[in-house]
Amino acid sequence: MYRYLKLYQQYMKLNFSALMAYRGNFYNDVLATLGWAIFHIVTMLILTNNVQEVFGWKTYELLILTGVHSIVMGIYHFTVSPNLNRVPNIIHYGQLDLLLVKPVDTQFQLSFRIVNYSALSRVVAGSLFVAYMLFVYHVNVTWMYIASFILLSFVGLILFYAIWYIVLTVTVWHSDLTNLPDVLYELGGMTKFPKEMYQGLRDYILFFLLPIVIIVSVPTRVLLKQGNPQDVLLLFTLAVGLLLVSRVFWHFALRFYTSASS
Amino acid sequence: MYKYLRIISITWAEMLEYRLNFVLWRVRFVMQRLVVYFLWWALFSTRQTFFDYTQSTILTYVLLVGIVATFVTGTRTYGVGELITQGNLSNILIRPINFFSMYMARDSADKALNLFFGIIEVALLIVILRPPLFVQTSAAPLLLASLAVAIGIILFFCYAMMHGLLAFWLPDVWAPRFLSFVVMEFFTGALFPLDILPKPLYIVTQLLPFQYFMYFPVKVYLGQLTAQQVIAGFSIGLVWVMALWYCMNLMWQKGLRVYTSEGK
Repeated sequence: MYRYLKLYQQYMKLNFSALMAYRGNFYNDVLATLGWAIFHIVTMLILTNNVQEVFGWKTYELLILTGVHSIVMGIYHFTVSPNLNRVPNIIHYGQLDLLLVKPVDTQFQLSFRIVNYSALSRVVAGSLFVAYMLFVYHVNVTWMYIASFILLSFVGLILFYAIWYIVLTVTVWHSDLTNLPDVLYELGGMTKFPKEMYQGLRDYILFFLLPIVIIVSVPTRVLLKQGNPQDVLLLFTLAVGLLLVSRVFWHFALRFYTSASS
Repeated sequence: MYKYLRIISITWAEMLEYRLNFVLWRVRFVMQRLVVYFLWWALFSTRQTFFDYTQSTILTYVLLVGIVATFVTGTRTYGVGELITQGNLSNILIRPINFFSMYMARDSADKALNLFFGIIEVALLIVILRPPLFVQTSAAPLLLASLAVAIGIILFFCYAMMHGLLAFWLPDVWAPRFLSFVVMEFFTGALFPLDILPKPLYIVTQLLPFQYFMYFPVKVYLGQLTAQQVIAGFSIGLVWVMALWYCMNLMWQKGLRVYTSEGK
């Protein structure tokens, strides 16, 4: 465990060095990322401008949900998504060989090698917005609620990562599925709306979407002191369960990996 | 002419090379439309009207935008930036083919495929979800909407191409392209009709070219614009077509002077 923490520290240093070599790109990326975060907030403001309550959520609660979505997705794009985005191409072009021969867990290398520092701007923007909304609407959160919120956001991130990894493992058999990350990004977009919005869908569709739609809404409900123990338990269970499944599935898939003339 | 028809057929073959991958690409569009559809469906669950829109007109708007968006914004110009930065533009410059015509041919193939599948997807959504829809029966709005879509296609081609041509000066065009995508998402009317914006902001959107990508053609189809608004819309659109066409050509001429085929 300590070895992997040291390794991740090295990854962060290497990525930071690469960042300093192309600072112009970094500033552009920060601007684009901030623009995306602001776009989501402004869109929600416009859509909820004329209403008091939607899907059982008050207007300010929906705005806080949007802010929490920025925080959670910002952390995800900072740590994991730039890596998993490359998985189909890594497998397709046989570059996985180089990772397999290293004395480091392959899933770790595939998931954490690249660090996207520009995504931190989205985390900062989201955090400031959520703090502002809590202050303006006099939502008195104690440190216990904040700690619970942070823990559940982390659990939500693990769940989202597990879903991504399980889906992307399929590329071991179908390495031409380079559009899979794009579909998964769309799934991430669905997390910025509460699960109550999707209740019009048939039960069997909602069953498959349930892990996605609770990733952000459950931590937000807890932050707003409206947490439901069943939803919290569901989030924990799905996160742990799917993380284990991702690990087992990945090791199973590696038996079928055939290098492409690396 | 024959060479451009060959380019169209080659682009089709490229796009359909990995069929499952292509299906996933379409699944993504369907998911985008479903999210917007359910968002508006939920907003109307407790009220009859929303910013002077009924549920029928807004859901028609959402589904039509889905078709218009895949048709107008389907493009192959996203590869132009990489073509320039990797020096592969040289291979095209030495060929007896016009660069813009080549990409227009590629775009035609992309749009034809997108339109075909977009109509099928929206038809399936209508059959499954059975939303209350408004169907235009007058010939005039249908004809004018087609013209508006044509303006949108030309404008988007110029807009997307200009982003690619930035690669003559910038090593990485991802960030400016992504930022413009964010701006576009807001000002094209992809998520909501632009006339629900506050008045000053709405006036700004009327003067920008983005409304022609989705909002303006759909509003013309719905017959919700006055004659004056339609005339003004087409006039401003034509001005933008000329302006962006000129800028695109200017960028191309200036860019070629600084192009060094660096990647090669």
